Amino acid sequence: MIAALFRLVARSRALITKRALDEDLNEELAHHLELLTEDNLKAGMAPEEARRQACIAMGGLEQARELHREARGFVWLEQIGKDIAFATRSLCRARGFTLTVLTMLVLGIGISTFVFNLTAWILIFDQPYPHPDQLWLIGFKDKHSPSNPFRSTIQFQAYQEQTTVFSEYAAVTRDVANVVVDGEPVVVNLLGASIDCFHTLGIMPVLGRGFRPEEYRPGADNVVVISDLFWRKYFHAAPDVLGRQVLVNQQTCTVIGVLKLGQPVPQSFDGEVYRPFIPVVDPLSPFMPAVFVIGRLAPTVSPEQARAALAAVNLPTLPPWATAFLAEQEPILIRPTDIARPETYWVMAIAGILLYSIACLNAMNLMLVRLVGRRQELSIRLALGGTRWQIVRLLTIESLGLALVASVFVIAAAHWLFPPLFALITGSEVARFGSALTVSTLVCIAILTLIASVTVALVPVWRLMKSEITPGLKDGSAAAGEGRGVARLRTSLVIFQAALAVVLLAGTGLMVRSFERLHRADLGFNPAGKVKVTISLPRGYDLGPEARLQLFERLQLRLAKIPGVRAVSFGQDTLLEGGFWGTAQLLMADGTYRSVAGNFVTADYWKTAGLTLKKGQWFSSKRGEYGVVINETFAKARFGDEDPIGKSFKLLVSGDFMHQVVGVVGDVKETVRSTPGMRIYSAEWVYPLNISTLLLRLDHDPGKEFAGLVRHAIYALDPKLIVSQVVTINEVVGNGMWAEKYAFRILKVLTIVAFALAVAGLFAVIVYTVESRMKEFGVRLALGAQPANLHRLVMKRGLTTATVGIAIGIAGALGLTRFMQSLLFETSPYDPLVYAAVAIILLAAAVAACWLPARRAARVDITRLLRAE
Amino acid sequence: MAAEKLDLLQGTLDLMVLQTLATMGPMHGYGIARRIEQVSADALILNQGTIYAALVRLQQGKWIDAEWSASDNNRKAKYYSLTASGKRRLVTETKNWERMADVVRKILTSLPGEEAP
Repeated sequence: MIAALFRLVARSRALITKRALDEDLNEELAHHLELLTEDNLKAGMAPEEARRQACIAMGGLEQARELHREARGFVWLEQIGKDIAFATRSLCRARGFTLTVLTMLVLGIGISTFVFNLTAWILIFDQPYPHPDQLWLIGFKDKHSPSNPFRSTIQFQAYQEQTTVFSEYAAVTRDVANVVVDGEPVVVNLLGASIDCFHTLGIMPVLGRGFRPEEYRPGADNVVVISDLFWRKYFHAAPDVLGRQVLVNQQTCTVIGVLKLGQPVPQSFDGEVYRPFIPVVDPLSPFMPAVFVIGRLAPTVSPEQARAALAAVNLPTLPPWATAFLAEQEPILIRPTDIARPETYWVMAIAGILLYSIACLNAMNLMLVRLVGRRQELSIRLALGGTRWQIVRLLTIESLGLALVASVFVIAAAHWLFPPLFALITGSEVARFGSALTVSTLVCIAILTLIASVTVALVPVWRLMKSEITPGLKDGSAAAGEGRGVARLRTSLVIFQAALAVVLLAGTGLMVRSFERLHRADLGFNPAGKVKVTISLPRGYDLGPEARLQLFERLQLRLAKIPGVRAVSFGQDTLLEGGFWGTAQLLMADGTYRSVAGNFVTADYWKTAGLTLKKGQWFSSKRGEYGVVINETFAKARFGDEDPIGKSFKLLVSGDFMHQVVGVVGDVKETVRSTPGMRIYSAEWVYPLNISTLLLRLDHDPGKEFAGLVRHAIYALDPKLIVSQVVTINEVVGNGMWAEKYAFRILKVLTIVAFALAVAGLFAVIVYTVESRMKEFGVRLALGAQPANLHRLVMKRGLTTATVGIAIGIAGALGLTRFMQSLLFETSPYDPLVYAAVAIILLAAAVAACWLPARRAARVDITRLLRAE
Repeated sequence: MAAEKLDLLQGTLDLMVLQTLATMGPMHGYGIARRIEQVSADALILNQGTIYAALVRLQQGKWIDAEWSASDNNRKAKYYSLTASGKRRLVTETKNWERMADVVRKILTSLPGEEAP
């Protein structure tokens, strides 16, 4: 056994010390031969004969050397080394071929690795939290929406106190806050983290520590944990950041921890600055603040049991309107990943696989061309005693080598190119600082490389095994064109590629159509030129209702002076966006409660927003006149065919006043996908508590510098105010479509590349076909064919190929695009217009790709062809 | 009629080389080849070139050592000598060979005479 080990080591070493060993042996053999010759001379032979006999007795010097090499090293390994050297040389000589195949493979492997990086966390790996299968996001459903992924503090408290179905909770509140670092104010997402939050999600600061239980007491909570991005941006990644002080909403806080780069957190749990969350409920607004709650199911509790337990909790006594409001809600448990819209990622992943296949097919096709071009060389090798196996080995080494070189480029790209690309595509600055080169990425690259090299080598090797190559010597000179079988094979590869490209094109086409519909979608108002400005007041900046109104009136006057601004109104945060916080409770004349979306706005609001008044008039701004305007959906639902004008109800947030309906306004959709809910509009002074937003009307959407103008104006008015956002309503509408936009951005790029590859593949095949049929064309011309006939012949061939590809592709697309349904807006996955457009685009590309080769065929010069013979 | 020369049996050359080195002490490749031919009284067909493959095999197994030194006629030659583990190897291999030869002989003699060729 030990001897076997010695031999293995020695044989391996022999690979390296090859030259020295050979010299050694040569000397030894020379010595041997000399002695043998001398002995023969002594035996009385003539010098010539003595040497000849000696050589015979040795059994040939070359054979002796060969035997020695075989015994001492790994001959097959040396052979492969030689093959690699040969493959390298021949690939370097065919520079055009090598570069093209490398480009194909780098694009194929690179782009699909990139897509893998984008999608794997959602599709393949589980969430990166401890025991993710036990984690559930607690939300609720009501008649406005089937899934709202948050709860109010009062409910969260009740869950903690009254149930045991969850063993721990990760809960956060979200806030926009002014944070001052070294005298520099920045607006950040401030998250209040519950006591178990970090533990539940497995978050561990890389620097410093998380929050301690004793820090969850008022006064002791002036500590913050910051995100890696915040640390890099505002502390310039200073290692001594712990213990530094920052001002958070005017309060001095100490930095106690820094989270790791790219710390995975569930959606809504990401922020720049974390502080302990100490629940305090204000009886005036019992639903504030909203909390995002993820619970860890206790062992042996089923999600259904947990849901039932949550539904059964008792809430403290609340005003009747609040109780009525809560009565409509039903708690639900949501898988944290489900908010991420996995179908978006599936679309990207499928697109990545399609692109990869097209690239591999293209490379395979090129390899086949090369094999056919090398028929003579290979035939000679076979004739000289080379085995088929050796040629197969050579081809395999070539394709493996190409794929490996490509993978090196991809690895480099993953390190340097992917992070900025990620940042560009996802819009997250965090991505910029990382490297995409993780173990999983490397494994992915390795697998893709292996598959690519096998596929690329597969068909040529199979052809070789079917012995299409041997007649190469014979038909090299006389016969016209490539072998029929190879031609058919190559054509079918192109057809396949075209089909795959059609599938991708169709997917992108459907998305283009969907976005076009989105932009034309009727929201009930024109979003163009509308800008929303949201102001938040720092903690400790408490304003009474009147002071708040006055502040916003001043802001209104100030912002109206900005050039281009035509009108300014203000109201609560829900301007042109519905949702939870705009919800108001009504006590109807018949004693029933009803919850609707309430907008408390200035009297000129409907003109600024561009709403259409359907009936009656807008309420006046005069105090004491409790006029309200309701939307059409409300009018229809509550009053049917009756005239709603003059009807009245109480609005619970405003006290004991009867509000009279004075007008009906057209419905406004909150997001493009939603159906309009019931809404009322009432004057801002009725309920000033939530007023925080100004709506500006311009002639058209302003440029990027506009936000700066707004911030500047507000800062000049009152530097303590926090401008938490300045957005156009068009952006707000678009934000609701982030998943679609995200998928679209990726799909667009993939489709362009795939399309280019498929057309290039078609072009290459047609060019090659024309090239190899030149003699045939010459003969045809000599026999009286017109150049136009030849032109038509080539075009026909190319277009037939493309048409078959398109037909197959459309069939495939009809099957696959069903998966995109949920990403499409008012667009059928079978939209005939899209498929027609795709067919036309690909055909046009095919015509363009065939045109040049066809022209070349038509201009074949017989005399030159003959001379070349 | 002279007896036909025997072809070398697979695997026996290594054993013969070891035995030669054990009886004669350090020798060079040619010497070993000559010695084996002489002892076999030219009854073996020995392709002298094959001796070097056997030598490198044995060397890699650390059963023999090799060293360049001056030969009798003052020329440089590579001398091979048996190592300690080579001696042990020779003992076991010899035993194995004898057992094998025994077995073969028994089987051959147990056959009825007239059926033997």
